[in-house]
Amino acid sequence: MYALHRSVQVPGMAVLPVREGRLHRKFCGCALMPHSSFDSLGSVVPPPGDTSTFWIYLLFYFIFYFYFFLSNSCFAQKICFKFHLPMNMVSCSCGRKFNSEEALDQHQVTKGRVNGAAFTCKGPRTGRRFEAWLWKGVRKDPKPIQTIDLTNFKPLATAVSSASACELLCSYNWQNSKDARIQIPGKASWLSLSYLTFLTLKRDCTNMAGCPLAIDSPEG
Amino acid sequence: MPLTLPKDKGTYFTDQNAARIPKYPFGPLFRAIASTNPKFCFDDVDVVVNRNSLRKLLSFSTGRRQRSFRINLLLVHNSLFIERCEKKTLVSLFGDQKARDGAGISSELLQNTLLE
Repeated sequence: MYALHRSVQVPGMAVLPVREGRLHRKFCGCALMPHSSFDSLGSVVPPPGDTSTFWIYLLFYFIFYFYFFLSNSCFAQKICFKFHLPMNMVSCSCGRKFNSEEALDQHQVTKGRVNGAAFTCKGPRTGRRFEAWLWKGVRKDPKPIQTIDLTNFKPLATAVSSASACELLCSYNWQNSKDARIQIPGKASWLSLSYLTFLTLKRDCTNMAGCPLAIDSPEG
Repeated sequence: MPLTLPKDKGTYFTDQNAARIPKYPFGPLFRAIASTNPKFCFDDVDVVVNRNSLRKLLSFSTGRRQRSFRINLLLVHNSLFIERCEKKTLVSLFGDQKARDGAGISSELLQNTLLE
């Protein structure tokens, strides 16, 4: 769909090879300059002594390239989806591909639930690359407190029951607003209750207990 | 009656508490309790956990979950707070064939059930 193996000839300057191969998410910067742009880049040959247009193109190219390379963001996915570009998809061991790790997780959990222990969609994607976020904020030399061996787990004979009395402590719902705002008690957004209290919480306060609490007037 | 739903499209929270208040995911819980049940005390509570963390632990104990996960454990006096920890608190879906439809199902069925 998008030939990425191109070379741009600019007279008097070196050949600029454009990246070859599968278009990854982080290389969306290439995708933002389709054929026509590359052609125009090649045809907009600056007159001798005036290379400003070329350098402007090159600057924009590197800005987009490094933005997507560094950000690895959802915005890059949106760009890829909008322009029908292949995204950096994650694969399951069964061969299916997914847009995100969350979708892959859901697929593997569902397969495991349906097929039991014999399912084939196991999650082999372990290692530093995929699990680095797990250690964010943890000290550099972590030591395990205790190792739990899954094979030693033995279920209790007593069934879990909710027959004992339950006590409702509270409920709340988030409001669809830019600030951190909850309503108490929680309810569906379209259901009307007359005894609601709205609280606005400060998302950036350093001490939750000392955080100023804004209470809006209850309805009704 | 068959129910036809469009695929989810847009930005959805995976962990709204952490997305709204990253430092204090349990903050809204405490505020809600203070508002509706001001005399409640956590002295007799052993474990405070949300549904997602509990499901992860149960999936792990039954051998279903294959991927690593993280939960933050905070011990306050005698109460253990199990805090949810996700890589991303927001997820963007584009309504294509591979998108999930969980949010649409839950909102649609909830409205239908309560209106009947």
